[in-house]
Amino acid sequence: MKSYKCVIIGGGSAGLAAAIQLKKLNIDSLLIEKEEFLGGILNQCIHNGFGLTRFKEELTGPSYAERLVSEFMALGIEYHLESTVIHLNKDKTIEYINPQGVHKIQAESIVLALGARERTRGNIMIPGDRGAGIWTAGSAQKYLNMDGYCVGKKVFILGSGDIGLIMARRLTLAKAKVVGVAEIMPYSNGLTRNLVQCLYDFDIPLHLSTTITRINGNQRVESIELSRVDENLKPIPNSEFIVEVDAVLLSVGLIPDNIITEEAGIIMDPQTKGPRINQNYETSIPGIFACGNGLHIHDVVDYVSEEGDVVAQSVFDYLTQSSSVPESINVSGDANFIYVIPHVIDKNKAVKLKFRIRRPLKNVKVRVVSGDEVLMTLPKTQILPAEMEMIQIPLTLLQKVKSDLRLEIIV
Amino acid sequence: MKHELTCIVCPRGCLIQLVKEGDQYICSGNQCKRGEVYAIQEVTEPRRMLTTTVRIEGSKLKRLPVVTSKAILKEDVFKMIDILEKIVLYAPVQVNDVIVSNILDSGIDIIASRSIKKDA
Amino acid sequence: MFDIIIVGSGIIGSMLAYDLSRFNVSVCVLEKNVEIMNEVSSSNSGLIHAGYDPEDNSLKARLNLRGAERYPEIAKLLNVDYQQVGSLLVACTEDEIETLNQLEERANQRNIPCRRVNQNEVREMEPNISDSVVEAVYFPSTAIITPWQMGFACMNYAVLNGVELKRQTKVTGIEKIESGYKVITNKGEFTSKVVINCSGLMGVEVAKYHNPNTKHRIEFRKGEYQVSDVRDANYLNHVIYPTPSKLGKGVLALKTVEGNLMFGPTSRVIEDGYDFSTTQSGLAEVEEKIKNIIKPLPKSRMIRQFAGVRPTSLSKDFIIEDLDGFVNVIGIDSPGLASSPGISEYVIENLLFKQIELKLKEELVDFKWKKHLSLEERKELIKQDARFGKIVCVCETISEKEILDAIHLPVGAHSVKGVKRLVRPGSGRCQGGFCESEVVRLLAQELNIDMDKVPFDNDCFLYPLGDHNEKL
Repeated sequence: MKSYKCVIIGGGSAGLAAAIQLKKLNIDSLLIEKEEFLGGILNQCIHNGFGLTRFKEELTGPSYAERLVSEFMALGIEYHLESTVIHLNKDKTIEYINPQGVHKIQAESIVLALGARERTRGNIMIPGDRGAGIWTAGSAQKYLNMDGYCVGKKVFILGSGDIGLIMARRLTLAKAKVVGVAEIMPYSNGLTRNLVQCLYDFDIPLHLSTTITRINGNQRVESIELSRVDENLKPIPNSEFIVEVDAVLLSVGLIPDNIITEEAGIIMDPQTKGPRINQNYETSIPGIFACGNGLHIHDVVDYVSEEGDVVAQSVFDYLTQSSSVPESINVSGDANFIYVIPHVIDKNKAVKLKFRIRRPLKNVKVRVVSGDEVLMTLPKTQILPAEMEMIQIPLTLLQKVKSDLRLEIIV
Repeated sequence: MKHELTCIVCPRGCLIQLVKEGDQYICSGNQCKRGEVYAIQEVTEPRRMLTTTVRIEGSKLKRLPVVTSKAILKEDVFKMIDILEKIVLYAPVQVNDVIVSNILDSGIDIIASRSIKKDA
Repeated sequence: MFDIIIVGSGIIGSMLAYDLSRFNVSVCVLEKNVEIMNEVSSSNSGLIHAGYDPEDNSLKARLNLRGAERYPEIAKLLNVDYQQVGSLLVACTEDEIETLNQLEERANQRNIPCRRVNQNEVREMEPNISDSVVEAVYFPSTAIITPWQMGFACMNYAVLNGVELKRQTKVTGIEKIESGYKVITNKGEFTSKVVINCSGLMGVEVAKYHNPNTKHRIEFRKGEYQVSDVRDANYLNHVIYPTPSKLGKGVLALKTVEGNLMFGPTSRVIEDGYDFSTTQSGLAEVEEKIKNIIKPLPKSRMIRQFAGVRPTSLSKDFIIEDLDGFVNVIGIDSPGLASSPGISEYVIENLLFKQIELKLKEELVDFKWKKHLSLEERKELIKQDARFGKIVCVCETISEKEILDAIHLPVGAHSVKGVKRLVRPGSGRCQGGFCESEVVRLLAQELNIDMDKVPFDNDCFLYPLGDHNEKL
């Protein structure tokens, strides 16, 4: 059985960055990618807005991907395309299938860069017919940008996060009519820039506090029933109205795609839907690390690649056994937080905490506390659930920690 | 003549009011100078970056993503789409290759957003 | 002129085609959809019931038993999935225990193997049974199949042995002619000595083409289901039936051959037989009622919901009759799937024998279904064809070659939905989010059409870019 110092599962913006950084640290790795090409989901994200931090330029998704892929190829790192991992085992063996056969390899360390999948109609249980014309936004994006086919002439989009907004514009430019966008929350999740340039520019109505309560159309979508929702996000009776469409796009959330992670018995966080990690981005199995959308959902691809960089360093430390024994502290957030990662940190290492909050907050303070002691207070004019936030915790502060570390929101 | 618009320069999303007085625009609601610059531009000559795809032959990939080299006039967006819809390219293409030069006499090019190899 | 025309290729039509293909008769099957097995037969529980449920002296009782008897041998011959997982009929109240007694009695009379199971044992057998269950009867003979797999395998066998299948051919009229019947369709006229009407939801309509004064009436009953991801396969060991009521067998909990869990069906009368939509109240009903028999799975484990429609005869039994060579096999609701081999045999031995000379063929062509590949099998196959290693559906580990093979079967999948049924891309956790466009591309490639001409079910669904000149 072939053996590798490091195997990276996933060749998107996280995996490529990790591989590149590892090579710069003189570690040879094997990158395994399921598609026929590298770059991951970026290849279908033809809009721009990527790379401002990492490359100091505004790039389209494919351009960003090409930057990473060019550097990757130039470094001569080993990789397999069309290779689907079917088993990740506790002993760090990996089984995968590709046109050359079924393979089993041994890894000394593993980087999980698995990416995410989209939440489906079946997950959110919209009742109604099940004909053609119902897609997740990413699926429609693939048809349009990769295959050159438009999914409808009169489209409605559920979800006003950035993916939904981007597709509203994309479809309009493809000469489809985007009849409207519905958002179950009383506010849009997307960037203001996208609201302006994807909806307002084209006079596409945004229906807040509204959701789709039924899809009609036997062979193909013919209409949808929309309903207003109350503060508990439950449909308000008698608020229904019908809109005639021939396609519905669902932009209702991304889910880290962790099937092999779970099967390996790695401990998961039900809030992030990714593995629990320490400050080295190491999972509950020593030597298996995770980064990118497969760890938690990001909104800026530059930070996805940055996680890949960080993980590469962690792998290096792990392989060269230069990690010190950590003094572990558990990290958590109060009820305002959906999650805070890493879940466990080392008192002796400065760390960047990343978190998301449940609802938009204005003019609040983020407090870092340990026991009774307030270690740090950060004023924030605005925090949104749609934006992953980061707080750098310096070593001097960590040294003061007695027990656990907790993030709190003070209004 | 009064205009109200949301600034997109930073995540704050200030609601800006612009009032034209003579030749000048009086700007309020913004929290920085960039907002004022954006607001005036947006009201006098709104511009957008255009990203779309163009048909390509000679490769496994069927569409080439393209982008404008600079922000184009918002009113020209669909005219450019019409032009790009009619184009058929042939692989190979290099990232940043100019696909259409000086489109609609705008001084702006349509450039390839990625490379596509022949039969790649 | 054909000897026999079969109208409808659901499980009844497919089973009849399979059985008849072994005789020296010419058979033509007319199917109005792109795919066979497209309606009632693909949206049910997939159960081969033990046979205690139907009333005494009914065709249902007789043919369920006979069908269940024939299935193992058919499954073996065609190499399709058939798993005798057994079932637990559970009771939560005194009244229900009374019903249990009656059904156990009936089962004994019909020689259906069963035994009583008490509170403790039922929990040993089924750890996730509901806390309200106090007693049960265990039926070891209940089996699960994949209905469309069975139907496609039957039809492939039939076609390899001379049966003709005409897709997208809808019957619009039937005329009596001297030596039999003329069947008028959207694709022309066909003649035969005998016509078998097994057209499911269209049962009475087609019966009316033959006899406008037919007294048969069919009621349409919708049944809604919830489906969980395959990773929950081990949550249940058997099929769990609640004590039945007047409405039918009730909301069941079962595991499919592939490992999904299914909860359902409800039973609600609807006007339009072609209303396959799920409803807010129907799905809520499944959620409510399933708690009576099992400890519910968290909602987040559900990946899909669907609804099926059954044609129920108002006479409450199957309608199987010969009207001078026009044979009605309609009102086939539960236990239709389980009974289908019995129904086919009954039709052939009791009805057709009188109309047509049926002599067994001397030579028959074999057909074996290709089941989902094990890793070992895949290893070997990749050596012969690398496309077995090109995984298209990551969720269910399905390769390009398996999809191509499904398209190129003698009776293969010609639509997105057909491919999904036969080889599963689109059935997993991503519900086609990643793989559907590739499936469409492969269908386009193999059927020699553009992607925008590939049907989702019966109609195509994509628009090529630049094609937006028509007014909306």
